[in-house]
Amino acid sequence: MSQPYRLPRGGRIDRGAPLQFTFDGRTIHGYQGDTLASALLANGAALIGRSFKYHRPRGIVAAGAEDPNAFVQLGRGARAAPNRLATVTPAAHGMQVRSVNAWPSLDYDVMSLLGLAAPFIPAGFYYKTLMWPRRLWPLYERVLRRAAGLGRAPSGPDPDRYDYVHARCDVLVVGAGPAGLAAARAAARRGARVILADEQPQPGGSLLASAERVDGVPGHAWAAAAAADLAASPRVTVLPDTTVFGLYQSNLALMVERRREQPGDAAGTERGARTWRVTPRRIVLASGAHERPLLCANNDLPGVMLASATAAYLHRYAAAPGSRAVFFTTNDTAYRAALDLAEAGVPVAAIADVRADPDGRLPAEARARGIQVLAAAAVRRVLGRRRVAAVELCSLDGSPRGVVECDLLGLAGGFAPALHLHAQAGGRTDWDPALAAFVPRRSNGVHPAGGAAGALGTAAALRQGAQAGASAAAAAGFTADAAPAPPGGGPELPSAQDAPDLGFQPYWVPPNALGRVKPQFVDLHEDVTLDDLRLTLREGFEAVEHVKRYTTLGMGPDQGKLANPLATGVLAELQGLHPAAVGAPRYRPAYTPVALGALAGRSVGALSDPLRATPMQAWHQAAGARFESVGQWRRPLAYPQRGETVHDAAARECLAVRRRVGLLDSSTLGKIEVNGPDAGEFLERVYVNTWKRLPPGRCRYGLMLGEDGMILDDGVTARLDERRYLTFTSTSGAAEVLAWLERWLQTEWPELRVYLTSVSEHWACLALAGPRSRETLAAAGTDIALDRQAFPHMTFRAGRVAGVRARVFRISFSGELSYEINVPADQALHVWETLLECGRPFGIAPYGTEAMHVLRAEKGYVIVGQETDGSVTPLDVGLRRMLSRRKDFLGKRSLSRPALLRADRKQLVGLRSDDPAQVVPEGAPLVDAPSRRRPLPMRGHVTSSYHSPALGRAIALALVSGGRASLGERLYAAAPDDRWIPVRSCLPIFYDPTGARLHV
Amino acid sequence: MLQIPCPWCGPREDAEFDFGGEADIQRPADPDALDDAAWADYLFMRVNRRGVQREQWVHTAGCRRWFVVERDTVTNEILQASTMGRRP
Amino acid sequence: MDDPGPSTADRGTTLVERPFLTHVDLRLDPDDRGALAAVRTALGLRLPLEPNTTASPRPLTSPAVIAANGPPRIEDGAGIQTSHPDLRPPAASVLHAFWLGPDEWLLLAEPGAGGMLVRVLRAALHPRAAAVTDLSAGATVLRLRGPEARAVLAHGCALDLGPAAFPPGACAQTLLARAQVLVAAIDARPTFDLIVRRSFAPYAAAWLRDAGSAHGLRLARPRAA
Repeated sequence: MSQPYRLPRGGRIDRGAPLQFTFDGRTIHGYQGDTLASALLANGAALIGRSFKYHRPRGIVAAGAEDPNAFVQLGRGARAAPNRLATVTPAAHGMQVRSVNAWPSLDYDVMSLLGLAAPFIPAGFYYKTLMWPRRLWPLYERVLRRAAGLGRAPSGPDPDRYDYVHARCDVLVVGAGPAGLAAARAAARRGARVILADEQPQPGGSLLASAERVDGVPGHAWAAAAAADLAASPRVTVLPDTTVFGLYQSNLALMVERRREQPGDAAGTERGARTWRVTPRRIVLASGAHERPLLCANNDLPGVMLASATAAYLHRYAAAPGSRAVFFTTNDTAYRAALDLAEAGVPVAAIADVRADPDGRLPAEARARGIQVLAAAAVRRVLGRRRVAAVELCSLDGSPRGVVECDLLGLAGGFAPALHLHAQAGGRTDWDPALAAFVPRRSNGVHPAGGAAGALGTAAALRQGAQAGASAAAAAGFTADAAPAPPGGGPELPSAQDAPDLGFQPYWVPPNALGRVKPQFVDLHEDVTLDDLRLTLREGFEAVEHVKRYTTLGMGPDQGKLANPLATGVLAELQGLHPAAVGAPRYRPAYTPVALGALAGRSVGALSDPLRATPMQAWHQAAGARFESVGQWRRPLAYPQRGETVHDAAARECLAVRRRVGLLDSSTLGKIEVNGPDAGEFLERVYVNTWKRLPPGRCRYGLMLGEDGMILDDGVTARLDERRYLTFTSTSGAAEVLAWLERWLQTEWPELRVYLTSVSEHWACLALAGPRSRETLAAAGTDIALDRQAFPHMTFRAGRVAGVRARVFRISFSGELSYEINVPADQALHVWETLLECGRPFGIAPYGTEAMHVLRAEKGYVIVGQETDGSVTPLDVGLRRMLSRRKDFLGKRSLSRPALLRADRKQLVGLRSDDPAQVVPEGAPLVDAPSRRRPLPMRGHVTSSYHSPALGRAIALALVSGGRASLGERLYAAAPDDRWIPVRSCLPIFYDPTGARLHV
Repeated sequence: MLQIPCPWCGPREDAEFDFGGEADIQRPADPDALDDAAWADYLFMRVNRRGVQREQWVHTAGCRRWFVVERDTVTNEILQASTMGRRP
Repeated sequence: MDDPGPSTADRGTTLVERPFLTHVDLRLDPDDRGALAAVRTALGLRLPLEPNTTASPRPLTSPAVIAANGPPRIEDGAGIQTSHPDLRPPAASVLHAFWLGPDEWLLLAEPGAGGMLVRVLRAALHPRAAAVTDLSAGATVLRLRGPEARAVLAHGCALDLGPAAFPPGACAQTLLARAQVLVAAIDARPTFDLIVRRSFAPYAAAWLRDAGSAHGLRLARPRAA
């Protein structure tokens, strides 16, 4: 097999299970247990992508989620997954992997000319250059987006299954490294329900990448056994392959669990994901620490890697990250990695150590092994084109120490706790001078442990983990005494090695003596350099959050895992400040990229939003209705018959109502029963008109205002009996109006003895309208006397219709004789069908909302939300006569504010276009005279506009400044394509102005 | 996400609630007695305190009761939740 | 008293609609001891005053109710007398009273009892400021039963429905995915009743079927009403 960099033995890979996948079309060989990154390294593929801004060649930097370069595109077509990290994605047989930011190919990237021609794009470039001239922005944006290319979206609906689940527990442990395992064990032993989540497929964290022993066995074996013990406990849920990507207030944790292969798939294939929404009582944060990179020129070339990552690839994957290495370090940890590499047969040419006198046990060991150790030295520059070829070394005073050939440079800048989740939850931090990093302060239910708390070394991690697990359990109410029980035999604290003293010495900005060699990258993903930070400070952006926004430092999908801890030190040194005074840029969710499908979970397709159904919904569907969305309802717009357009159908339905009879499903209207001795008083306070004297059995149209005097909702209210009213609200306002009424009742007028009960769902509503509706209703069978004297307009009667108990309201939204028949929803379909059957001799037609709109517009009835928009008063729509002068009501006082009395307010008028066939567009602006002048003063806008079949002409309603005082004036409506439609204003009523047809 | 302690139903997720702005704003007993400035003050002016603020919430998806919450607008910590008082 | 359902012998998890049950909304002042006593006498039911709890009364014996309260006096509608063919001994008893709010309860009874319940309660509470409203056609009950019931609900419900936090007799109005529901723990199998508004029922049922697909959820046929 062509894996030239695969070591002959070792590693946690299954050499009996080879696999292959493609990377940009090239076949890559690997084994079960490899990540994409480790397999690529084993194949000697150093180049993994191009950088976001300059398209510089980039390689693998880390062995975990902190890698800023290793974002790749998986799969293609509908299953395409952008922004996946090669360093944590298990390799699976048959995978198709593509690099991002490379066009046309990784090796010959056209855009890297951008990097040659303009050696660097300065910080703030987007703000300075691209915002002016503004009209060129779309062009810039197109070019830049093409160049940036952060992966490609899937081309079709994702065929994989996503899931979403809520969970509760006492203690959530983030990370199954030594600290997390010890914490989970301690918490579970005390009786707490524990969830242990880790982003890796196997537990162990740092133990997977080292040769350390715990309790006398290899660390990874100890971890596997400990996790298995935990998983056996009914109180513990162990979730491998699960990333906690967001931590929010009230201890809400969001995690995504990657789901693996299904039967028939290659092992390791990813098939969708499950999002967990967990609200634990306490959280143990054992998310580890990330090594910091170091600055030197060209520190972004493939082959430059974190020292800890070189060890991880060696121990865990038996992949040599290079063939000849140099290390650049600020502390002793790099020596361990160097010794391990040398032991595995990868020569280490030199170790450049910034410390004057590295004399610990490990440096001594390295020297003894013949590795050249340069004290008080640094890497000045990395040489090479597409990968590291050599490094240029020099002393900190600038004197050259030679050029050393190598293809691997390990950087060891110290460790910083992974503070992302802690910071997302609003946690505070403290500066740890020994670590030269921020460490989390225990707070808001979060207990940090191990690397995340700044503890390096397995023994310290185990110790801190056990403590954090115990204290988290205790805080959740579980003490050792309460439930001394398994899981997991053996001592609570396993034996392990303590970490050697780091002997860390900060090295942020290379000394001036080294010269200003360029470029030195602080944020590899966002291509932010040291010079960018200098420029940003010069331009006055000093606060760390300003620096972040100006440069986009830490704003990539890697969320600055490597860049931010480094940037804090660099900014502090450049400004001569203490790092604690600089602070750390705020981290945001998600910790690693999350597929949108995982966030949507099961809420896709028909389940993405409830589709509310009236009892007649299936009937409408079967009748071939075309629907319109009204909130969560889908209401029939019209019922086209063979060959008809929706428009034709609506016109036919309008005429049916005007000439014969029509039937509308208005079950979606809100219905509220207002019940109690003070019901009338309550209605008088919330409506502009009076209610106490409305006799039982009668109906009245009501108008409800906000306290600001603007129309909130309208509708008919009927008095059912002495103490009960039934209020109809608009379909869209149903929930809002009930909430509004409850609010006043509960918060302002608790003394009123009134109960509000929504009966919207119990009563279906069938509007039977038209001159022949009386005959139709009679034919359907009713015990209600229907003649004009017994059952006049604006009254209601209870009785039976088609054998069903009904409330029949003689109210009209069409201007015709009309009966709104309310029946219990479970019997509504029967009544609906009976009415249609019995109405057939009279020419009945079901009608939809389009006809309803036309009919009411012919009458000039307003629709709240169409003629009104929250800035329209009853005075504006000509309903002054409804306002009671005898009582106060909500909004009344506002109506006398000077601004609401101005003569030039927009007022409701009707419009007739000069050409009767010309329907003006709804929403069209209205002006006094057409002109090319800009801006052109607007007089108002068209709110409703239809062709009226009954009148055979176009009609419209509009809000026009000072419109009611100048009825009959000439106006022009602006239509698209620069046409002007001449119209004339009129009273907003077009049909039966005396209302004679209502009272027949 | 905020856990909001409904005084009736106990702590529930914020998705079940709606926010109703500052609490303790009393509707004037006689609005006509107010001049325009005083009415506008009642209508529009709110404190928007930095720190602990009394505000109204309603448990929309639960018991439908309005109640008063004392919340620190800096930390989002909820110090107390109390009922509006029952109808007589 | 509770419907044992058609799947008593089955050990899987099932979803069944309990259609056409009587739903009556009751509002009264919980500090009015007289009102509580009147309900107790009329229905043999102590209204649960503890939030988010359920009361299950002894069966309603209609002759005694009518004897105790006299003939129903209050009519539906605008004080207009209408004929009430269902004015007869109730066919069924109240099954549960659910706490909905400090002054609001939902009474769930066997099908067809709405008119009778409304009349009996209005008569018993007259002339108090109480509200009794028949909402039977406005909601339905979905019964989810079996070992995986909690796991199914966890896909869309944030509440802790575990036996400690939500034992039989507990109820709560909350969100199931994007629908408002009243969820009630009926027994320890566990059995949950989800009371859903009529227009949301198709969504809720489809959602439960989808969520249940990974848990072997089976649809059961409703018992004939």
